[in-house]
Amino acid sequence: MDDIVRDYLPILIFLSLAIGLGIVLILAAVIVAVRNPDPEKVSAYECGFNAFDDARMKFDVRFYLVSILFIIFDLEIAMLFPWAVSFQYLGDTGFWSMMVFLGVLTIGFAYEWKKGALEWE
Amino acid sequence: MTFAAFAFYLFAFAVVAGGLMVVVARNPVHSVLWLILCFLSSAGLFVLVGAEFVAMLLIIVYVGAVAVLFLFVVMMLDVDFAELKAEMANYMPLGLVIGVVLLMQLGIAFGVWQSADIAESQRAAPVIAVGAEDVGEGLFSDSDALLSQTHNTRALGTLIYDDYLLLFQLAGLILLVAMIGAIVLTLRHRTDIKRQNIVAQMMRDPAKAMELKDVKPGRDYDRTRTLPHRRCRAVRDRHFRAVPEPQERDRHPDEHRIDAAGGEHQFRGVLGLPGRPGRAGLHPVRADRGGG
Repeated sequence: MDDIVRDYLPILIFLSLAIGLGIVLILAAVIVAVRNPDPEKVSAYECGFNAFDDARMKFDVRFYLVSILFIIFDLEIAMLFPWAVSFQYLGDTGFWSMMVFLGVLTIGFAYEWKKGALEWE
Repeated sequence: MTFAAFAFYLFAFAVVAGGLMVVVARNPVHSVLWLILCFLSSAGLFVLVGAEFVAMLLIIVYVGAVAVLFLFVVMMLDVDFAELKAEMANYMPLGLVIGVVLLMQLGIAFGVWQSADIAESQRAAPVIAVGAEDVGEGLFSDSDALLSQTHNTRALGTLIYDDYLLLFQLAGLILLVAMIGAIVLTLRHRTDIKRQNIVAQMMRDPAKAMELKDVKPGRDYDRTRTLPHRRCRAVRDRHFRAVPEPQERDRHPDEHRIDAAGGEHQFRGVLGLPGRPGRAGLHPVRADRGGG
């Protein structure tokens, strides 16, 4: 268990710093800042005219498509990590299985490129 | 209490509290944020168990991508809170019944819970002995010496791409299906907008794009104005030219913000080469060769 602490000490320090800083900033804002809200201050400000609508509105499904495509390639990259780490110990089978995997996803990539799914219009 | 135990209780508490807040939080966006806290704390738990790769996967894939997807879904749902509360009252009895049944099942499972003898020794992430000499002899080993020697990620790597090759390729095919399915379901091309054809732009011949015309002084000018001098210079007297007013300035740019693409600005000034007064005889030629 000491190994884990030693390996992750920088991350631990970073984590505690991040959490501590966040708490300090929020608390400082609560304690120090002057707050006297009125309806006009709290209401939504939209370029000088009255707001038409709520901020929660439906938006284009295109964002979703981009995000899904991102996740798929994210997973592809994630699959590459153990492969790269254990590359030294992998035989031909391991190497070529990854090549086939990449090839299959490259087919998908070519498909989405040709379909124009990556274009923002 | 050792440090690891302290970290375990911290992360475990964060997971449980975060999970509770996911359910309890009124605003769905806040639920997603609590869910991200859950993912992060679970990553911490995985690190404590020794499954480092899974921990990093949780952060990269779940926090980085799936949480964003959830946010998009929440945004797309068009949640109406008043309506939601009214519906919740309708479904409350059914939900309570299901909850009680689940609680009883959990209680029964907890009552008869037994762990096997070998489970104790196998609770850590499976680690195989990988060294320079014993490659490929993928044997599960529960000895602590090997556990500290072999990294979890390397152990996974030697297993996935060789022993579980078929499952790995199936995963690739599932990703392909997901990709194509997402494109087929959601992609539709708009025909009513201008597109940038990059190839056509690159292949455009500069010699054909510009044309030098010898314009007689005073011909093309606005006749309603009087010219001060017959031989006026183009740059000095350019305010006599007919300058086209920029179109559609009276529309508010946020008017079509619901439609993401529709709200995008067209770069008229950059792409369209509007017919501003420039040098006397130099006119940009459009596709219909009408001139600027």
